[in-house]
Formats: sequence, C-alpha cells, structure tokens
Amino acid sequence: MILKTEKLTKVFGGLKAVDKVDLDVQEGDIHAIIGPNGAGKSTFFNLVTHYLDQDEGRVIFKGEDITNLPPHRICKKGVVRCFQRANIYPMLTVAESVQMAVLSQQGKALNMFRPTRNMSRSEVADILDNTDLSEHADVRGDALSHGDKKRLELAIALGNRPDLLLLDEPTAGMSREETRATMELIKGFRDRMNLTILFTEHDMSVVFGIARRITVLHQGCIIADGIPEEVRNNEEVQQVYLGVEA
Amino acid sequence: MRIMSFFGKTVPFFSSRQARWLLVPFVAVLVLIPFLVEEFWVHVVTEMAIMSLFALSFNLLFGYLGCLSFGQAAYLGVAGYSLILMHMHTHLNFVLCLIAGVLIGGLWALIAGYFCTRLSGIYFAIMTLVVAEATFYITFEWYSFTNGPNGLQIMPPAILRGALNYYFYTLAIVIPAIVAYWFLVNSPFGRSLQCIRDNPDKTPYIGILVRKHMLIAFVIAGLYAALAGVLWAPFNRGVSPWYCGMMKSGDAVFMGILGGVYTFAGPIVGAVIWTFLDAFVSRITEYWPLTIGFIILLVILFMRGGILGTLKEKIKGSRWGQAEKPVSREEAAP
Amino acid sequence: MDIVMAQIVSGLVRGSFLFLVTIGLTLIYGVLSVLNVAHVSFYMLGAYFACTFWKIMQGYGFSYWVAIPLTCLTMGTIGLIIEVVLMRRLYTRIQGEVLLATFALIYIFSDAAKLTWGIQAYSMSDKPEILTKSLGTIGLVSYPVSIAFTMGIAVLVGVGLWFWLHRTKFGKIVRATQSDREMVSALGIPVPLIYTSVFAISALLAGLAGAVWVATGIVQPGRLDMPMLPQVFCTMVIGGMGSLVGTAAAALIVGEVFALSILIAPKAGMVAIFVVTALILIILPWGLFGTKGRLE
Repeated sequence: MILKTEKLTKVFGGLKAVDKVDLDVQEGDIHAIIGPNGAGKSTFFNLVTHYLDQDEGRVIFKGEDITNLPPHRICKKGVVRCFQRANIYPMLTVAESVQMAVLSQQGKALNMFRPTRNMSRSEVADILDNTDLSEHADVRGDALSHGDKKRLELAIALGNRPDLLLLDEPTAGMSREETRATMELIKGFRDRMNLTILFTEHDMSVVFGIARRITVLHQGCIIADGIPEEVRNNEEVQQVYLGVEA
Repeated sequence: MRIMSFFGKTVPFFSSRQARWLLVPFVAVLVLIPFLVEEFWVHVVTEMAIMSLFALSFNLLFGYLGCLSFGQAAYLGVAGYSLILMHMHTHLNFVLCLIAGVLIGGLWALIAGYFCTRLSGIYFAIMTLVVAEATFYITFEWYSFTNGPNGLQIMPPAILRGALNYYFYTLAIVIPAIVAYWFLVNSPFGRSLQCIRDNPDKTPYIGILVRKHMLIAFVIAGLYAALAGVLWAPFNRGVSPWYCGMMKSGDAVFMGILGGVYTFAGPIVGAVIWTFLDAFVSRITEYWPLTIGFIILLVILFMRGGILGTLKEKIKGSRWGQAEKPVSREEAAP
Repeated sequence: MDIVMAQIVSGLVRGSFLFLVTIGLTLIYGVLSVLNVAHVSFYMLGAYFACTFWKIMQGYGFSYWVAIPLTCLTMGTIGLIIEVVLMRRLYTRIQGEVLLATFALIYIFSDAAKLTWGIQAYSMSDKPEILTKSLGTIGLVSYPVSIAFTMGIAVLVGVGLWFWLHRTKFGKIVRATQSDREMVSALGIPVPLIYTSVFAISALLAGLAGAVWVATGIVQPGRLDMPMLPQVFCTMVIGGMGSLVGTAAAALIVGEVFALSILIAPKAGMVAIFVVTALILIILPWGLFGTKGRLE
C-alpha cells in the first residue's frame, strides 16, 4: 500500500468538500477516482499534496505521515501532482522545464556554480522520449498546443522521479484521438518506469479502459471502491451517474 | 484587467560564443581607457564599474526573481558605514575592514530579507523601501555613532589614492564579481529564480522551497550591493545617510530599467549610461532629477526592455536574429 | 501628563493629515489597481497652489477659504491631464513599471515645483484668526482651533467618501468597476471615463490635503513629497491596500505611534513607524483590512 488516507476531511464554510475519506492505493496500480463535478476529486488531490490544509485526517505515504509536510517536501518524497489546467512555465523551453524538475529532484536546485545548459541531458531526453515530446524539446512552453502542454505537464512531473503520480483529469479538453493517445502514453511510461498512478477522470470510457481499481466519490464521500466490474454494477453508482455512464 | 507581461527568459545579450570573442577586446579597452582620457573621466569610469555591481544587485531580484526591491541602497550604505566605523574604531587593516563591511551589509540583507520575503508583490516592494528609509533615519539620527547628517569620512590607503590606482583596484574586484554573477544566473539556482518568477504556484510542486530560494537571492543581492558599498565609500571619500535611503535605491532601479532588466548585461549598460548622464548633465544644469525622470518615463513608455532589450528585438527582427530564434511548432512542421 | 496629552492630540492631528494624503492613493489602488506614487507630488503641488492662491487674494479675509476649493479644482484638473496623457498607457503594464513611471514623475514634479516657485519656503504669513484662536487648554497646553479644523476635514472626507462609495449611484459603479471591469463595461458604462474620474478625484483629495497643510505648515521644496512617501506606504500597508476603513485606522495608528514614541526616544519617531509596520505585516501579511486590493 503506497498511499493511505485516513478520514481525510476538508470543509469550506458549511460545505464538506472532502468527507472522512479513507482511501488505499496499492503500489503499481492504476487507480482512478471518479465522481460528478463537485464531488471533491481536485480538493482531495489538493489535500494529499498539501496545497490546502486538511481539517481532519491523515495522509500516509509509504508508511510515513506526510500530512503536514510542506508541498516541496512531499514532491521530493515521491508524490508528484499534475494540475488540471496545464500549469507550465511559459517562457522556458520544454527541455528546460523538464530539466528544472530533474535537477530539483537531484537536489541540485541550489547549485550556483555550474551552467545549467548541459546538466542531466540524457535523463531529460529519456523523459521527452517517454512523453513523445522529443521533437518539441526547444519549443517555448507558451508556443505549445493544449494537448502538448498537458504532455509537458506530465513530462515535468516525471522529472521529479515520482513513485506516485497524481493526475488531475489528464485528458480534460482533449479530442477522442488525443485522449486515447495520452492514455496509451501514460500506460506506456507507467509500465516502463514502475509507477503508481492515481488519476481523476470524468470520461467513463477512459476509466474503464485502463484503471485496475476505481473509487467513486460523491459529495465528498466514497460511495464505491473496487475493481471496475464491481463499480460498474454498483447500484448507487449507477444512480449517481444516471445518463452519464458510457 | 489583462496585464501584458514583458517577461522574457533572461539570457545573455550575446550568445556565449560571441561573448567570448568580445571579451578580450572589451577588457583591453578597459585597461587602456585611463591612459587615454583625462582624470575626471577615469573617476567616471570607476564609478560606472562600482555602480554596475549596484545595478546587478537590483536586477538579481527584479529581472530574475521578479521581485521589485526599492531598497538595495540600504546594504550599500550599511557596508560603507561598517567599513569606515571598523576602520575608525578598530585597528584592523583595510582589507579586513572591507571584508567586514561586505559581511555586515550582507547580514543586514539577511535580517531585512527574512521579513521582506514573507511578502509578495507590491507589499514586498514597499517593505524594501521601508527598510531603506529606516536605514536612512537610523544613520541620520544616531548622531553619536554615525555622525548624523554629516556622515563619515574615510581616505583610501595610500597605494589606492591615485585615480588610476583606484580604477584598476576596482576593476580587479568588479570583473571577477561580474563573472561570478554570470555563473550564478546561469546555474540551476538562477534558473530556479526564474521559475519562481514565472510560475510561483507551480514551483513548490517541482520540489523547490520558494522562500528559501528567495531569501538566498535576497542575501546575495545584498552582498553585491554591499560590495559596491565598500568600493564606493573610499572612492567617494565617505558616506552619508543619503546613500542608504529610498532615493539612492531608486538609482539602482533606474539603471536596471534603462539598460534592460531581462538581459544579463542590461543593468551594466544601464549603470554606465546613468553614470555618464549624471556626470554630463550635472555639468550643464542642476535639474538632474527632471532629466532622469523624463528619460525613465520615455524608456518605460517607448523602450520596453530598456536599451539592450530594445536592441535585442531589433536584431531579432533582422536577418542576424533568425538563426537564434527557437523553432516554433508551426515552422517545424513540413 | 500634559505632555502625554499633547502628544496624543498631536498624534491625532498627524494621523488626520496622513489620512488626507493617503486616502486618494487608496482610492486609486482600490479601483484602478495601480500605485501612483506621484500622489505625494500632487499633495506637494496642492500646498504650493494653495499658498499661491492665498497670496493672490491676500488682504481679503476669506482668501484662505477660497484658496482651498481653487486648489482642489486645479489639482483635479492636473490629475485628469496626467491620467489621460500618461496613466492610460500604463494600465496594461505590470505593477513594477507603473510604480517606476510614477516614481519618475515625482522627480519631474519636484524639479518643476522648484522651477515654478523657487527654493524658498512659503507659508501663510497671517493665518486666519479663527484657526489660530485657542480651542481650550488642558493643563498647561493650549490647543488651537486648527487641530479641530484638520481633524474635522479628515473626518468629513472619510465619511463623505464612504457615503459616496456605498450610497450614491456613481460610487457604486466605481466599486463595481473595481471588482469586475468587464461586466461594468458590458453594461454600457464607459470604464475609461470612470478611471479618469477616480484619478482626478484622488488628485483633488491630495490637493485638499496640501491646502489643509498650508493652514499650519510651511511649504518647502523636497519636504512634502519624498519624505511623505514612506509614511503613506506604511499607512496603506498597515491598513490593507485599497481599504478605506483600513487607511483611516492605520493613519490613526501611525500618527499615534510617531507622537508617542517621541516621548520615549525623541529621534525614533520614524523608525518606530517602520518597526510597527514590519511587526503588523508579520502577523497580518495583508494588513488590517486588506485582501489584495479591495475597496471598501
């Protein structure tokens, strides 16, 4: 069990965005969190990566309580997060952005004496290969298409050598074709790099095609958790997703 | 409100290969200048060199980190005062006093930075200004220690008293300092500052503790200002409270803007031009503030990116620049 | 004890001045989200103009009272011109650039004042008797009416502004513009006109502050613009950028801190203000009432 949350709770005003969530993620899994809009998926990620303070509960990663660690430490420990809206460095090139994450993970971010230009080139090239961005290596972040920006987001995350990768709606805003390609990509580097992936998604076809385990959130609570077949046949899930299920 | 950002990746004005070719003739010129001009201009060029460090100090925080500091003079002034006070009250030799001056200036930057880096945006700028003004008032009012508005005097040691001697001494310190600065801003640390500038929300999530980097940058900038301070005090034969305050800090800001904050050499060019203008205009008229005010306004309105920034744009547009442009996606597709 | 009382009152007066000078800048920052540091120059110019208008009509008993609105009008006009000619081009720029451009303006105005009025000090040689009369005595200290005048104007401006912003139609439009510019524009209201008006009003307020200063103070080159800037900043920052209530509260705090600290360490007044500012920012990084440019 690589990640475990215990009674994780976040309240906004009177609204329980995340309500006593107990989630287990197994090492090596591709685990999906699904739920309608407002179910609390992004808030959950925000709590795990300490973008927000939790009101109650704990987050345990590889046996260690990481609940109150500052975000950069959580990242260094191996929990890396991709944002829902592609949040990249507009002025750095693709290679440079990834390189920054790589150097940061290697603890070299405070190095003041060597020119960055040639550091860790092969690792960066590897990651760009894995995310299909090699031909865009010298393109600036803001010149990329939306789909490429999302892949850059992935590449930057890989630069931090994650053990657990949190993907917040990785295919949001993508066409059918791009969605398929992206999920193939993710599956690809996951297999090669031995990562655990926890992702949130709206699109049911994506989820049932790739996830080994699914957790369903509704109004901040878990209403189902298990292998895809179980979840698909769960009555409460069907009710919540009436009309939405693929 | 949409805000037009003219952030650019801060790069050397010349590519490294070009810079290497220019370096030798440039240094040669620097060495020959004092023998070709009258003493007044040797003083001016010395001042240009010292002010370059001051401008670079400002720009580490503004151009690279994206934080506007209106208070770099506080560290320049404190360093100058420390140098003189150490020299007056202890009998340590001059070199040790220099080092003490720089370190104490850096210490003041550490203290101020601890508070300032907790803030962001306009609050940061205002706080740095407050620190500078506080330094001004402390040196102004603490008559018994700092001699108040009269300031303190110092003569450089005998071997440095000639214009030429002090000039080469200054170069011997400034040039390595600028080279070190180049390594600093091109290092992973320098890159991390740009990351913090361009996307402060994302940067913790690639594993960087933003506040630590900001504080380190603040102290380094303070050290550069302090270095300028210990070079300036003996050159100027003394310091006074006005070297610690908001207006002197504003000079560093002006130099940066004038030369171009998003290039490496911009602040240096800005310092050179500013010092030249100061020397030149002061001979003609007493209305220096009016002159520099108009120049800065014009630069901000019409020459975004300062002198070097604007030049860079012009070169990029011409044939020269084509080879340097990164290939965008549209152009790459056959 | 008398001295303490006198200092407390002095602090109130000082706070009132600070409020009058700062409130225009708060208004601009709250609505336009720009920091026009040349605001202190408007204050200085207001003081100079007030002296000049007073001098022109010297001999008439009412000269000062007429000089005040004339000054306000003049400064409002100057503010309007500056907004149209310069500020408009800066709205899309980053904060740093606006601050620098207006800082350059301070330099320009400072020399312009020197060119126009010379370097000698100005003051109203025979102040209106009603102001110099004694309001009363507490212990051994006699308090002139002018302190009530200053504080009264500050309260009037504060209450008037609040009323204007919260109860009048124009004021509500101004507040709406601050929160959602696009929406106001979509409703057919000319936003640039609003910006110009607010800027002109803030310049007018600065002019008013200058005119009030002339009742009791001396006008000297370089003494009214630059030295005011750190205090104005501290007030804005302590109160919370863009908050009307915050500016009022902060002005009082800063005024009293200065006045009372003089009792303990005579030269430490300004530094005491700065230390208090730093301390408050540690506990409340957005100031007492501020959250990123809210005007209320």
